[in-house]
Amino acid sequence: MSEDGIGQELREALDEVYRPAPALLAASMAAVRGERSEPRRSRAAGLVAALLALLVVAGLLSLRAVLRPAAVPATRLPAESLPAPVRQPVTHVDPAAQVAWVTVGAAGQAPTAVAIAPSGRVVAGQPQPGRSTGAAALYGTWRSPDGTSMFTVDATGVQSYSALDGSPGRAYARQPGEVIGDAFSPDARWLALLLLNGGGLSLQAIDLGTGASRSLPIPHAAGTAGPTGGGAWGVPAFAPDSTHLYAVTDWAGRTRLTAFSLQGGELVQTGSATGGPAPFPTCSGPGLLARVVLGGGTLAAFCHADGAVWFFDLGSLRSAGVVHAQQPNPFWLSPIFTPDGRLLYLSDQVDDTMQVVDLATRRLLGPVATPTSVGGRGPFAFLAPDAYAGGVASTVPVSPDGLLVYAAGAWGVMVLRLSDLEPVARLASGVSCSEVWVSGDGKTLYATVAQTSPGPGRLLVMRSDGSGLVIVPLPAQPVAFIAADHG
Amino acid sequence: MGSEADDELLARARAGDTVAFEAALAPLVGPAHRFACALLQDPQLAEDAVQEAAVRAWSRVSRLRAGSPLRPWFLGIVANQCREQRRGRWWRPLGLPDAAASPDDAVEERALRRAQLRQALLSLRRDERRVLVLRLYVELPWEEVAAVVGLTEAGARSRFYRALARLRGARDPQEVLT
Repeated sequence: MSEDGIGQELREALDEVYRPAPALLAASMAAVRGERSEPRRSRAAGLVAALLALLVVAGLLSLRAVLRPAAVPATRLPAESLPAPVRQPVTHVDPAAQVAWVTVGAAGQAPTAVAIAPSGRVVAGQPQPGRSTGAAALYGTWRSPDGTSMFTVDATGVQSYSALDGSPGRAYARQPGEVIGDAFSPDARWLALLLLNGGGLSLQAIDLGTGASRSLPIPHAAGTAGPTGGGAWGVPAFAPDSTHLYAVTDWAGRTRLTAFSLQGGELVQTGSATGGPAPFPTCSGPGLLARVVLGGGTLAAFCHADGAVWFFDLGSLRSAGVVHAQQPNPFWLSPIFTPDGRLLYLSDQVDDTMQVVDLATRRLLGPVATPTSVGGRGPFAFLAPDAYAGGVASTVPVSPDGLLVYAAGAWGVMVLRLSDLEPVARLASGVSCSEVWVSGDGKTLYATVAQTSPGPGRLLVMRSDGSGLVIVPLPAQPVAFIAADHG
Repeated sequence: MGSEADDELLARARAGDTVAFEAALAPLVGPAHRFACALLQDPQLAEDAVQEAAVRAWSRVSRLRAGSPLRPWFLGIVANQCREQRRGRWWRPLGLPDAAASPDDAVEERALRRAQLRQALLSLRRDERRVLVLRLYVELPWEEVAAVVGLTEAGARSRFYRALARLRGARDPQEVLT
């Protein structure tokens, strides 16, 4: 390329980041003449320092003040602040946890999982036996919480693979039945499956280290019969200690919360409740998302059908309240639990708004306009599932340290700071991205490139500051990343 | 600078006349802002850098020798201010175009190439980046490029061509063949 050629290209590239600032000199001269006590940069630096020192506080209210007015009216927030995100230790540093797994597929073909290393090299590809039909498609492929293993499930068993290179690992037997819920223990030792079979609902806990399996029925009210297929939902959720396990189910009677213990490697039911005289709330559709939060004392569950957030006290197995988020239609909000378990963000990608639930105080703030300085899709639009209304996002790209969230959109990848959602940086500018995944150590970002025409897809791989951008051609169009909840 | 009128403005500015200083600086703010935008790739930070540079220029203008050209002197202050801005940031933005949704792959491809080029520019050494931007984006004559970066004109040209080669190497698409 000639000097003129690259010069022209450089001018075009830099013009994209140039914004005329006609009042610049006037502002400087005001400082020169002493009309302002200090130049703007100093004020900004002071503000940043204050924010860093306090580590919070700007909050969503101040966010509104600094962002462009929203296209969609959002209600005014109370003058309160949200808790600062708690920095999480970055523990998923195994090389296997840095490899991205993404499903790709063309119309009429079985989807395939492809693995891409931080270098951009495609290191593995696996067919997905569990994604063919029916409910199994929802639970076909999982990634372990530590990011080092992949799992596929079919009618008879669960097969593990190394996330590093796709090499097969151990195979596990599973109980027959439809998988209606699954959860890994945080320590990656246990895989819990909720299974519906022949009118009975059961919980199977598979020890991924030894292959041993324990199973117990989920209680239901005497004299009632559950459905034999469909029409039931349930979600298991592990406590942070990986030895306490809970299942919220809606089958054969009221909504039920059942507690289990895996102390000593044995599965024991320790309690079950439906709320007594004040029955637990009900969710009229599947897709409940549940997390044990606040150090293990509370279970928070989000109902996609009506936008309700339920709280259960896990000590007493009683309801601890319900918060109703604003949701105009079922399956409209996408939930994001922050890694520190203190906040639940609810993203409405249709109206480009965000609501946030303080899980400790059970306060609901918002909705506020999703922060973005450009038009088009909101920065959390990536949370909209491609194929399954009501499903949760295939990735929840919060940085492993819990301080940043990554959003993909028509403008590239936006980096937002938790909890005030202040936009921090935009990466891969101008490239329309569909979804983003962050590696276990937080050092590598992967983003699928949105396509408007048929043909093989592409994946962007970059360091977390956007440098070292690599374009990886994919064998087919990308569908979704296969991710553990938090990378 | 160079005309009698300009020299007179500068003389008045050195004597403490803010109106004269503003008049002398006015034609330089636009190029300075483009320069800062290119170095920082963040319009907001660039504005901050130029504002701060203007204030610093005012505090130092009395030391500017009579007859010295104002533009390279001021752009040198802007360059130093940009360096401080980059040092002070814990996060590095990589360009913030308000890009519209790409209607087709070709547009998307071009956007990707421009993003790569900006990234490649940031990967260059500081002096190389300055020379490239001053010459290709701010479009300064060689003598002023040299003055801003503190080199001879021949040295600036040499630095420029070396930077150009490194930019080409760094920006070439890194398609990974699998």
